[in-house]
Amino acid sequence: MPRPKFQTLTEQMYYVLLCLTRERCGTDIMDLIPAVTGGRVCVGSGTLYNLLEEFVQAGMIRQTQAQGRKRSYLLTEKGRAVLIAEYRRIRAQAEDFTRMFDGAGETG
Amino acid sequence: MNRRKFELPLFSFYDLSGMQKHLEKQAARGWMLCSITPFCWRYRKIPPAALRFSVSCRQRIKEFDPEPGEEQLIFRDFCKHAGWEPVAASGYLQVFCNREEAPVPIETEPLPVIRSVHRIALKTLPVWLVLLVLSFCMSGSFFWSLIFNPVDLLANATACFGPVWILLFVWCGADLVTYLLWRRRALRVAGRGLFLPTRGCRGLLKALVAVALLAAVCWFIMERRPGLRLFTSLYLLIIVLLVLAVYTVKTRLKNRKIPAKINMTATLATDILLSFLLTGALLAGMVYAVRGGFVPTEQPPPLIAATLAGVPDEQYRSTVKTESSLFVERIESKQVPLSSSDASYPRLQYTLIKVRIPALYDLCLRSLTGSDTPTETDPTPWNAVVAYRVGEDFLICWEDRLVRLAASPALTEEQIRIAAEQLTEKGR
Repeated sequence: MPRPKFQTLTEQMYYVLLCLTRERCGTDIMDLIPAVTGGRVCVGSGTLYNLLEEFVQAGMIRQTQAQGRKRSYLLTEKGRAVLIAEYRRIRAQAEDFTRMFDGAGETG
Repeated sequence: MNRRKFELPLFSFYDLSGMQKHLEKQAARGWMLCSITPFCWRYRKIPPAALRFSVSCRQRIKEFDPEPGEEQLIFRDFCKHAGWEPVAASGYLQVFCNREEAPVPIETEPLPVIRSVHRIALKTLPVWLVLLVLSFCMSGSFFWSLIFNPVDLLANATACFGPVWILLFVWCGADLVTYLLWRRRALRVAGRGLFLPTRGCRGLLKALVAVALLAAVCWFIMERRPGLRLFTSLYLLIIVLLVLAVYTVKTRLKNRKIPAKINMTATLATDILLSFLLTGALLAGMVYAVRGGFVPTEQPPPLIAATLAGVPDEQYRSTVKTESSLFVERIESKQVPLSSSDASYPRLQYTLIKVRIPALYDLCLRSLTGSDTPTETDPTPWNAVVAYRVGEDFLICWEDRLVRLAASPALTEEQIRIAAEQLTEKGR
């Protein structure tokens, strides 16, 4: 049975929502994500455009202001809840890994 | 040195990877895409450069809008921020290029790309299916004729297009299957965040276009029905003029920033008006040509009953149908004396087949005998290789032609001699 949309987030979705815990515009997000992840995660301009549209439609973010074509967004309560749930899921996975994986020293 | 070039982009709509690689190759050779039109891709000369291209199909460009829409501009702003400059756009295609060696791709999630491509596929599906069914039926008809009525097919110049229909069917089927297979595999690997490059049926499409052009040239050379080549050429010219005129009107109005609704109305009006005018002019021209006797008439039949009867041609009512191709020429003629004429004048009905490819001789012979059993008779009066009687008819075989001939009353020896000369063109 397919999962409901946004029940688990992809890495790119996760970081876009994380960036929007503060009011930011799309181009700021594009620069911030690789800066925060040390280049490990990059979001393509088309993917970001698509994700912002989908998050707005899902009520997870809201547009706060528009200066010409530059639109800023902020997480909503629903988006915050989804983000926290995803963080808990990732943390639970990390704890399971620590508990079950032999050679705990390799987690460093 | 040419500063511009045009190219027919023979890509399947879903073959984004193929388009990207092609554009990168062109840039490395010093050609930069500058616009996409419904007819071709246009390039301009640049110093050879190692550029990266990305082809996006997520948004539909509104053809009549004088300016890109707000959402399109926002999308372009995002792309520009990442170094992707817009190059050309039309319909569902937006092409971007980037000068960096390893830029972050425009699309970093495969699923939305697969969904965008599938949306276009669903819109294109009706056309695909129509082409598939039509080409299947035409190919089937071609093969049926080839097996059960080959001479009918071989004598008709439009048989040149038989291979085109077959290739069209193969390409439609292969393209549809290739797309569905790609989609299935792409969805599977998308779960791991991976992109599956596309691969269209470009080779097949190139072959189809080449065969279609060749078939058109062959048809033009071989078609013998009076006036048809002229009419077809003029009609094709009208279509080309119409398409160019409508495109020019739309583009000029768009460049002058005319609002979309006015542009659409003006373009549609131009289309309708020009269609009526040009088609009307063609029809009027045809009527004038026919009435004025300028249209080339059917070639006279090789064997003329009036000559056998020794009377003027006006004493006969005759019909002749000529079909010609690279393989055979078939002439069917029926000549009946007018009711006011002498009852002794011979009525004549015959089918003459000139065989251009010797290997087809037996096939042509079988087509003339049908289900009847021929009885051999003396070929000498006809100066033929072999002669048969098929019921009341004569079936005469020369080296490169055959005729099945029915005459009433029966021909005299002298009339047979004249007939043989006319049918073998020796009397000319």
